[in-house]
Amino acid sequence: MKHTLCLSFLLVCASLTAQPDSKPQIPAKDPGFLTNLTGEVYIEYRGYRGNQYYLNDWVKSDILLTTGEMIYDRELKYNGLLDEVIWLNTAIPGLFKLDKATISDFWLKNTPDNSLHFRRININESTNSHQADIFAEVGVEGKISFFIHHKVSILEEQTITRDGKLYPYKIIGPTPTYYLKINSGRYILLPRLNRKSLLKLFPDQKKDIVKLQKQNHINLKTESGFCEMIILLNK
Amino acid sequence: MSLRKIYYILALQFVVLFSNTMNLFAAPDERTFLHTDRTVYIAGQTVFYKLYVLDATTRNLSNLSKVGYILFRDANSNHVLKIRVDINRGVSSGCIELPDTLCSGVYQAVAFTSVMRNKGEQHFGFKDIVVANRYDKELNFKLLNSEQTPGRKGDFRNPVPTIKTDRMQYGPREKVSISLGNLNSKANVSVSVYEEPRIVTANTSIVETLAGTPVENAGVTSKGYYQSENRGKIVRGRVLDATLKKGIPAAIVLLSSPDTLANLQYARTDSDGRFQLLLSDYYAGKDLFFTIKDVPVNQKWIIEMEDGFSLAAKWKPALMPNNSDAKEFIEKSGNLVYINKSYQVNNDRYKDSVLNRNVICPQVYNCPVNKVYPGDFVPLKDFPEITVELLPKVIVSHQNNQYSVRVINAAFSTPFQQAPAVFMDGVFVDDVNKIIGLGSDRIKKIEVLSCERIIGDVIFQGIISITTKSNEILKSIPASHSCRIKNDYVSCGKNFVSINPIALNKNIPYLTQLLYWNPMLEVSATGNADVELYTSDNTASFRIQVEGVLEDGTPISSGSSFQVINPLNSNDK
Repeated sequence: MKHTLCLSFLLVCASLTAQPDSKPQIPAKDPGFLTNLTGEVYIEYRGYRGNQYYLNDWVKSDILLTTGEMIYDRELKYNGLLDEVIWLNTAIPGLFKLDKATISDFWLKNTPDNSLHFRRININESTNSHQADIFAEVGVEGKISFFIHHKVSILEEQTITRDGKLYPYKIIGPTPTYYLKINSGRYILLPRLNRKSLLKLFPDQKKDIVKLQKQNHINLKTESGFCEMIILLNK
Repeated sequence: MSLRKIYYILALQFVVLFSNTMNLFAAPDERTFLHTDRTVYIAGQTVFYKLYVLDATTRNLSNLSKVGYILFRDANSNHVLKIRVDINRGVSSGCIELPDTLCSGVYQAVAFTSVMRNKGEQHFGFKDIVVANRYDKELNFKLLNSEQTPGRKGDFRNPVPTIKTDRMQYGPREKVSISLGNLNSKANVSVSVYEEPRIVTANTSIVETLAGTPVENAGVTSKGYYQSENRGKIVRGRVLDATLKKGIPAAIVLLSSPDTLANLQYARTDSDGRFQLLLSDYYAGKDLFFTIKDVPVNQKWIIEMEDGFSLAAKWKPALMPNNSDAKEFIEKSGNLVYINKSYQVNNDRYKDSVLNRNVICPQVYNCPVNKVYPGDFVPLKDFPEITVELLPKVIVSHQNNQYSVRVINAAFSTPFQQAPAVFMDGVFVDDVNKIIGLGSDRIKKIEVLSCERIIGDVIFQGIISITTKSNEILKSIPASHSCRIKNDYVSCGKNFVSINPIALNKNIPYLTQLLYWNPMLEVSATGNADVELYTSDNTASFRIQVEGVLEDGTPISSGSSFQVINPLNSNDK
């Protein structure tokens, strides 16, 4: 009897305190207080063989807008074929291609303690003289910065026959390109990841580069090795 | 699991739930105190002010609100002046120019922050002032009866700063050195040195104001609704069914403002039909166009905007007839203004402080877009004709005397089912008929986006943005489900500049009733501060008034006085 009384008293107290406030409350995520992302509906073209995205899964990401505002925890993917950021808006729901010009940086939080930092950089395309904005992963930031553009390109066009009809499809694959940003603020395209291309850019530091590579056993043909070398050069 | 464990878990849950409930009720709260340079002004003069905003719980300078409201009302509770101020770490200072058309009488300055509305208007900061119009020769207005006005006097144990002047009497245009002390702590104080008016007011010091705890108003129903404006001004309103007078939940309210870029912000109404929108600095001083998205046919929805300055309680001051002392003082004040005007001397000198604001337009789109300049083509009489000739992605149809516009979906080459978002001069158009009459003679540019666009969680099936040659949107009348209001500017903090009369021409009179105003005097850790000022040709008794807060939030207040006499007439007082 004693136990029953105690239990009922506690349950009544708990239910009383849990009564919702009768006054209308503006929700914490009121859109009137938030910065809105802008973009257009994205319809995925499925005639590709291969992966258009840098990461296959939707990952929670933070976005830094050109206005300086931060937007947190949006589900994003980076489409390397279009060089666009795709947003999975679960509220509507739908896929949206975000306005590139509004994004300054974004962080794909692929693991709980790590995130991939992408930045919109303005490169001078060598083929046509106009300026182009691309999203590139920030490998190293410092005196010399290293960026990886996770570009996806069409490698081959083929056709398949299904039910007696010909269907064209394109084979796509990753074709990353690398950029170094030097003191002048200029982005330099690296033709390849190797020692030769680095030495060509920094002929004055040839001895240092060779020495650092030997001392630290760095493989300059890999992205991680290249990043390691740039970090050492920045020191 | 033993019964003891079950009790323990339930008790723990109860404690958590109880503390959460308590937190709901413990909405943040603030208190304000308005220190003005003087209490008696001539219409057209400048009021220098410092607004103190303190956390109601900790009594320290508040970091909560960044927006403050100051309004002046007359004895009939008519609002005569409203300003919005920026609050930085619990203080704001600047100046307000009183309109020279103000009638003679008593006025009340009311200072508050948005979050203070949760607890009721009785917690707002009040300051009574007297304004006289120099063209009012009779001066028969009534003054405040200070005996009948409730004050908050009492025995306060707050530290009282000592105010020491190097002398008790000074001649005209002489240097006055004032030292503040006895505080033993850093302090943020405001100091005013002004001619002691022979008019009694019921104003209280910061110590008296903050010591008083007014009784809670039982009629206040907005507990917790008013959020602190810590990022900027918040506009509030309600979407109502005009017939039933009932709030519409989950309606989308769109806000845009005239600009060369199509801009949009939106809010969703709550269960009571209320909405709140955070206004960035972009909207300062602009016309705000509010409208409701997708109002159902045959429904009459309206938007009721809330005035951020509105006060429910009327000011009912106890008044008494004007006396001869007061009349004499006001006449003298008016004469000093007249003399200064005759000699074209402006003693209300202040320096502008520039506001560096990050103005960001909430653009609807920032992507490549199809642009058409109708002026580059043969003249076309109206918008339907323009669409036929120049805009292949736009269809205008006319049925039952109503026009409708559709954009063709670029992905499927079929028209969208819903109407696009149409913008005119940056503003979301609430009725498409407003653009139908626009011909190429009035349109400068048309931009069309023939895809489904998203802004936050709101989708539009295409966008048409029209820029007119002469800002036609300003001439348009809002539809019944829309409204248009003018947003205010933030009053930028102009500050008083002390004049050294030694450098002035001796043949020109230098007459002022305000000798010194410093809203941001920093008292050092030793609790001392020095002030230097110069007297003017105005021979009178001057009051030194110090108000402020110590580093730990303790309010402090003190006053002293000195005389300025004419050495040629030693009997002058």
